Amino acid sequence: MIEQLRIFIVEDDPWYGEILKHHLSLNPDNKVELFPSGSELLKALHLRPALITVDFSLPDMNGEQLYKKIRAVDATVPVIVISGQNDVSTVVELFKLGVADYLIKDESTKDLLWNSVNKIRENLSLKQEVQVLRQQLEDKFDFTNLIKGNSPSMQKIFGLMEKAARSNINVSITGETGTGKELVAQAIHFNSDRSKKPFIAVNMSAIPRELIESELFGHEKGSFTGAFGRKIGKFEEANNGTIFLDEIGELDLSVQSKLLRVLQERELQRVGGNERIKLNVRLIVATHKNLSDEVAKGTFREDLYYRVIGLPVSLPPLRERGSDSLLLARFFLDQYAKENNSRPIGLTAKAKDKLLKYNYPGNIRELKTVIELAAVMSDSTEIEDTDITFTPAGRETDFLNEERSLKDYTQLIIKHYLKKYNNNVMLVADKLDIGKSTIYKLIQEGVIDKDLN
Amino acid sequence: MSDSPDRLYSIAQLEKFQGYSYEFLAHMLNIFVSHSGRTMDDFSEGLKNGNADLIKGSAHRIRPSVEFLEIRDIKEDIRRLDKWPAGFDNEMAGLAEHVSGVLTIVIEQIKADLGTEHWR
Repeated sequence: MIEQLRIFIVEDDPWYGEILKHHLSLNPDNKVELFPSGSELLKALHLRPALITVDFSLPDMNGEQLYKKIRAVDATVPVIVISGQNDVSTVVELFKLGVADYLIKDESTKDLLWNSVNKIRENLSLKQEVQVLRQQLEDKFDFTNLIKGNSPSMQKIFGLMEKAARSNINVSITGETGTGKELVAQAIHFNSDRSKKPFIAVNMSAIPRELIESELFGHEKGSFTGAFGRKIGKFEEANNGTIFLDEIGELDLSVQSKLLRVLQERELQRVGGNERIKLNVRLIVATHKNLSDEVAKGTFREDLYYRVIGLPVSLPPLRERGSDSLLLARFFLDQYAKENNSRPIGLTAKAKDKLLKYNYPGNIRELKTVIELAAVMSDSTEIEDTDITFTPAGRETDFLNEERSLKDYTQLIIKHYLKKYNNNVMLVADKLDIGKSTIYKLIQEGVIDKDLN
Repeated sequence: MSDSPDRLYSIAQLEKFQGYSYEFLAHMLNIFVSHSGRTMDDFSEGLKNGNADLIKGSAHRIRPSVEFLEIRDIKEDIRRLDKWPAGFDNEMAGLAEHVSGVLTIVIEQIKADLGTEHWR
């Protein structure tokens, strides 16, 4: 909120100037100063008023001349012109130049001015709020604030993100579920030249196949049953900004060809429309799939693949990020304490050890859930290993958490397959892509029981 | 705080102001007295030199205060002088002289009222 609004009144009639000053000063949040001429005001412009009211007929210059001189010094300060004349052409000309309001001098002027000043105050307040929020957003999307990681693999990712933010190249982000693909896309956008323009995220897997084209490219009224009005598509919404297409690997082949055409021609036509709309959109895509494999399988167009691949950023799974899990756990605990207005919570050595050994199939998303639950369960200032419960989805990886030797794991896997396939050595060798002699050798060495059959 | 019937001005509009006080009223009336003095000087010079622009400009500046203080005897004259379409002539001179005469009386009344603290 604007605390105090510094208002300069330029009025050569001291009586009228005092009336306006008194009236506007009734709001204690207005700090009002009076100037008898345009030249007196210009001398005081360095004091940066938030608003200026100008009498159109001044002894040294008229309102239009003064307005132009104000604009030469301050491009943004709102100016209200107050005039005894209501010549339409003058009013139109002044509005064309950009005055905030034009008031005719009569009995209601002071009340109209009061309303106009209040509107400008609200407007300035909103602008200030937007500025604060934008700054918060910039801080929020600072790479290091947004994505925590000291591991060498994440340092490499930060380097790639910086390169992506500095350029306009398309970016393709791959990584397992929960690795933070959208956060990376947001961080690239909000650190790029497009940061003040829209960031539009679209999850391909969340939109029904029959709606995806209209969702992406928009449609005209009546273009299909249920198209009751014109709809602006996500690409148009993202114009001059960034569009993030998540799970692009899920995109239907027919829509892939349309997307390719839009990317090639940098323009689109809404469904059912003829108008060609020029686009300036930065594309970031993400997928948990290996797109080149999808190309090989014929489910993803090769030409689109080369169009979207741009700068590839491959996010490592959390299990490959060393002690980043502890860094992130610390961050989530601080966040939890802040959001719940509770005291800071630490981790015991055993809890840290448990977190480091876990495999995190759900990656960072899973770690966050685990930590928040542990914080809730904890009765002390430190989380114990017993407070940490991994989600059922992570059970399959308990196997890896046992930290056995490779030899032990090999035996366990072969035993598991032999049991599953009724001890059919040939089939198991084929499934595991190993020689059958390897299995027979283990049987001969007694590592695997002979009586399997 | 009612206006006397022989008083040529009224503070009714000033009284409508939120935050109205004697200090505010005295301040505004003093401004009017000093402003009117300048207006009469300008009129006097304009009449002497046949300077229509000087009279028009001066009438334009004093018009809001004359309307605010509801000085009915000259309200229309001031409006006409402000919007005077032609050059200096006898009609303009007559209007300016009439305005100056009324302003002289109003100034005397205001000074008397302020001196006797009539509005307190």
